[in-house]
Amino acid sequence: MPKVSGFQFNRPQQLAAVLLLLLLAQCLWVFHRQTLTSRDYDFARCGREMWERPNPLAGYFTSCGNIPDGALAYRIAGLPLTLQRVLAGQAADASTWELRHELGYVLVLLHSGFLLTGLILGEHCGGSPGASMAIPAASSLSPSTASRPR
Amino acid sequence: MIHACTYPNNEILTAFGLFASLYTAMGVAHAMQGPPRKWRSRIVLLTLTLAFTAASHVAAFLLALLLSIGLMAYLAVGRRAYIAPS
Repeated sequence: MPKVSGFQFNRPQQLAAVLLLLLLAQCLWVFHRQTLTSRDYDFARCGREMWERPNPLAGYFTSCGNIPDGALAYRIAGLPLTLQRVLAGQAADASTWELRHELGYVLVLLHSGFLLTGLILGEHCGGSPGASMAIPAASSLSPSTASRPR
Repeated sequence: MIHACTYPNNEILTAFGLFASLYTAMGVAHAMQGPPRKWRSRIVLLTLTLAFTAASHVAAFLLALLLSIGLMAYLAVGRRAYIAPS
């Protein structure tokens, strides 16, 4: 079996890699079937506001309302869109709705940070079974208002 | 798991931050059995994971902090004074 600087890729690692690839394939299939929702637009709009128009006085008071807790999800949703908008040379005031035909794969970009986090979590929890136990634990901690635009 | 990976939400980020914090805290406690030169990078990583957790959910951060201190106090035998200096 290949061994690179102490990392062994034996049967358990191969099994974990297959499970992760399965999770990735399932998520990509879901992306293929999804359409952009108003919740997606809220996260994209307010995430982009946090990256593109930061205001020390307003803090996290965005067009989604005041976000005292859970701003990371907005930032992670908005970052790929902001980066691609900058690379595509679009105006900063262009809305995500207007950009949906200009930018490729808006939905995949919007959700990619969450997919990546899930894959890393799955990798470290020993595949999706371990991670699937961590998600309900986090959900029970996280009130629905923390992740919902207001 | 698939649902949590395919829509914008804080739960997946909180789960990752909480898991990473506890895992790193145990790593720091184990490293404390060794020479101090090996502590710094792990403590920096623990700080980053706690910051990630705090940015995703404040209550989860408090839980991660308390559990991390508890795990470190349990694991860092002979070095507990470094965790809670008197």
